Amino acid sequence: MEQTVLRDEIYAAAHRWPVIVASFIIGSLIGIFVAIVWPSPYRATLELGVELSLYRATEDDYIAEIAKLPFRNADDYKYWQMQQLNALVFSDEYLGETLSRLKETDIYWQEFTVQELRDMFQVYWRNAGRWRLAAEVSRSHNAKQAVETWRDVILEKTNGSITDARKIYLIDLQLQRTEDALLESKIRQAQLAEIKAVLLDWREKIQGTDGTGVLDPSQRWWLISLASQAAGVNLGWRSLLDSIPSPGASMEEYIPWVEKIIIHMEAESEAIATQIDELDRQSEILQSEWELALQDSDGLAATLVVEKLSDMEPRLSQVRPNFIAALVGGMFGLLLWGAITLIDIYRRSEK
Amino acid sequence: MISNRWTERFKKIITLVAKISWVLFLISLPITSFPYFPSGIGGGTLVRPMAIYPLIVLMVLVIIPRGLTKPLPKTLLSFLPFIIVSIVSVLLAFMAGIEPTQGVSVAARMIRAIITLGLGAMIYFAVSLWPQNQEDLQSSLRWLYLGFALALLWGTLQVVYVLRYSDGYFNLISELQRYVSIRRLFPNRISGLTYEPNWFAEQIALLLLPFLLGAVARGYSVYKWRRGWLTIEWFLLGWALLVLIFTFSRTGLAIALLLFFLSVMLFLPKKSFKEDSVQGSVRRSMILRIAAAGMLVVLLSTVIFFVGTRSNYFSRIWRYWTEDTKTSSYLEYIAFSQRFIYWQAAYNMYESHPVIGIGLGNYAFFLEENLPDRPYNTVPEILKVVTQSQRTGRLLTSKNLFARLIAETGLAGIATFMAFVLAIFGCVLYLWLSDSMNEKFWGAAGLLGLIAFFMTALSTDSFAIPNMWVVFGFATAAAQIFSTSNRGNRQNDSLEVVNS
Repeated sequence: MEQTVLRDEIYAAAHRWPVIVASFIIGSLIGIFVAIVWPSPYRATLELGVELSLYRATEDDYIAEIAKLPFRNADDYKYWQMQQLNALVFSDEYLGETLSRLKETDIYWQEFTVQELRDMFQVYWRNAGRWRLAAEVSRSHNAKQAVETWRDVILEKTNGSITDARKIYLIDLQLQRTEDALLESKIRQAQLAEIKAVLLDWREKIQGTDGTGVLDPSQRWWLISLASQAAGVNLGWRSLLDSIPSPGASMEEYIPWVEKIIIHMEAESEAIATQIDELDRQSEILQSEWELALQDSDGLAATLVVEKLSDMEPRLSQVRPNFIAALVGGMFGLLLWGAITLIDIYRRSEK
Repeated sequence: MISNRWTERFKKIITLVAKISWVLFLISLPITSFPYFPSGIGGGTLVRPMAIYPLIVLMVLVIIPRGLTKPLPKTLLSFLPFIIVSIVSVLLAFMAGIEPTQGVSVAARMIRAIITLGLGAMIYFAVSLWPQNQEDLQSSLRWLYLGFALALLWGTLQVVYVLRYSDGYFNLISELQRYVSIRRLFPNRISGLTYEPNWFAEQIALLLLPFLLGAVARGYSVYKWRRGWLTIEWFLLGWALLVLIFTFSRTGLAIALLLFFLSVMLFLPKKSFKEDSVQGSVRRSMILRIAAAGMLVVLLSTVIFFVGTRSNYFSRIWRYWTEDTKTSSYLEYIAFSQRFIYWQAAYNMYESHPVIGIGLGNYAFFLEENLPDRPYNTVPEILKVVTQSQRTGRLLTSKNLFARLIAETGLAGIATFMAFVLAIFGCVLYLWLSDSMNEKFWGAAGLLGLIAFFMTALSTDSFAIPNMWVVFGFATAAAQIFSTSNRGNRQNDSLEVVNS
């Protein structure tokens, strides 16, 4: 009998919808009240403009190397840049600098750590374009201070990195030129060595024969062709080429001319060797400059732009979880209604 | 005299038509996206229950007249405040001058929202008001089982091509499916008679398993046939579970596991665990219950795991930890992270319109501006929303009933809807706390149905899908029928006492 009463009472209570709705609403109002009374931090927000031109997406190989990811398309490249910027603004380097500046500005920040600062800061973004920086601090002017300092540090550091990224581009061009020159010199050196070997071989062959006979015209043209290949662009070479013995000259008359050419070639080879050393040295210097700039660029692209959108003051609001408190309060109201109803039913059934 | 005879005959015909409509309504419930349906209003309609045709006949012939002439169950009255709040939210949004999105206007969306809620309400009213006695309840359940038996049979025919694919067979089944659903079949998952595998799974989990598990756990059957403990419900339960696995629906299978666990924990009779009132014995039996429920879940999970390895999509749940290259988070990998974004967007909408929401059905209009600021390159589904050229023309929803309610109807909607769900909970508890086997079955089924509802509400948000309304309707009807009969019995008892 008692059980029947209990279930009848539960059935009746569950169908009193005005009481249930009222419990929810009262709970919500209490939740909102608590959220208003409860001390809450201030949120200061600022906007930052982030732009990226994608025309070098396929050429910036070094960025893919830093990312350790193959960029399949311009979107991959762009989102990696955005993620990298996002990671940088929360890095120890950026936040450490922000904190030290804040400490200089206000005594309030003396006890704070980089990690605490990281917990206070938020950055909201979907893509390139408008990025929102936010700082949540218990005091309003400190919230403003924090977000402004953070923004300044971000602007300075990212622009420094972007300058280095642009330097990479220039160094890249210089490096390319040096590499080209080096390659050209090495080819020339190899060519001279090859021609010299052929001429020495010819001289030995002629010296081993009588050498008084007239040089065959085809042999003469062959010699001219070899000498022309070895010849540089200076006047010395021109006069040397012009001093070739006449077509009717004997073979041994050509030997001094060939030896002069060999001497010239050796002189040029030595010059080239010095040039190669110099180019190697230059290349090494450029390489280390490139690596330094690469490190300083933090993987940011030369075409990235990070800028202030306006000189407006940070927007300030108090972070009150009014609406979540209303929901939680409403649910709590329902639970309370359930508990009170059950106690009431139990007490009546006891009587 | 002649006129009376004609009236009698007319009444008989009406009763027969109504009965046939009721049977057709229950049998056709598994068909959720019937192709021969009036065209959608704004954004396209995916939910097109075939049951709406017999439902309209029922409403006209029985439900509306009954609602006007007989006292309504109290539970129905608890539902009305939510309907009023929803309509008010829709009307306020209509007056707010919201811009159209993807060619869909607020007016079109408003009509659609009211129609879908109205459809849900019609189903709930019909199921609550049709059964007049215990026999009606039982026969209704038998017809529901018959409808599901047909759906399971159709699902079993689909299992064949999942296990052993053949072009000819798949094309034949697909061709036939076109007559019952607007969407093509998947070659590696089964859809039953519904729009897609998840819908089929959620249908089984919410509409069928609570009744079958309640019956099996309580040793109850709506059929006379029985061999010892073996009833037709046992066969249906095994069949439903087997078919359910091949939907490879994560939500559906998770609900099924939870329901199996809870059925063993809560609904197996005390005698199954030799419980008595002695303190130590109760603790021992509780441990036994937990062990039995746990073992059952482990067993089912093992079967699901082995079958699940056939599906690339489903096996992602565990493949994340075995694959070498990971470029996304676990939730992104299993394509679940976008759900959190939809919910966050819904919460943002609620924050901007906390009291009465943005208006029922208006989620899509406010989605883009309320998306949380975060990169979307790893969430292509959202990328399509924010990229003009990628838009598909289909309006997105929150895919979570509670998120939808918070966003679209605000605190008022949530409060009134909770009041309604609590009324259903009251019905279910009323039945469950009875000593009668019959009532206890309806209570157990109702409780499992409510749990399944809370789980499915986390992944679906449509008011037009009949599942939850049918479960709520049966709970309302059963509570009304049993409470009325119990009151009558008590009155008779008191009269006898007075007379004696």
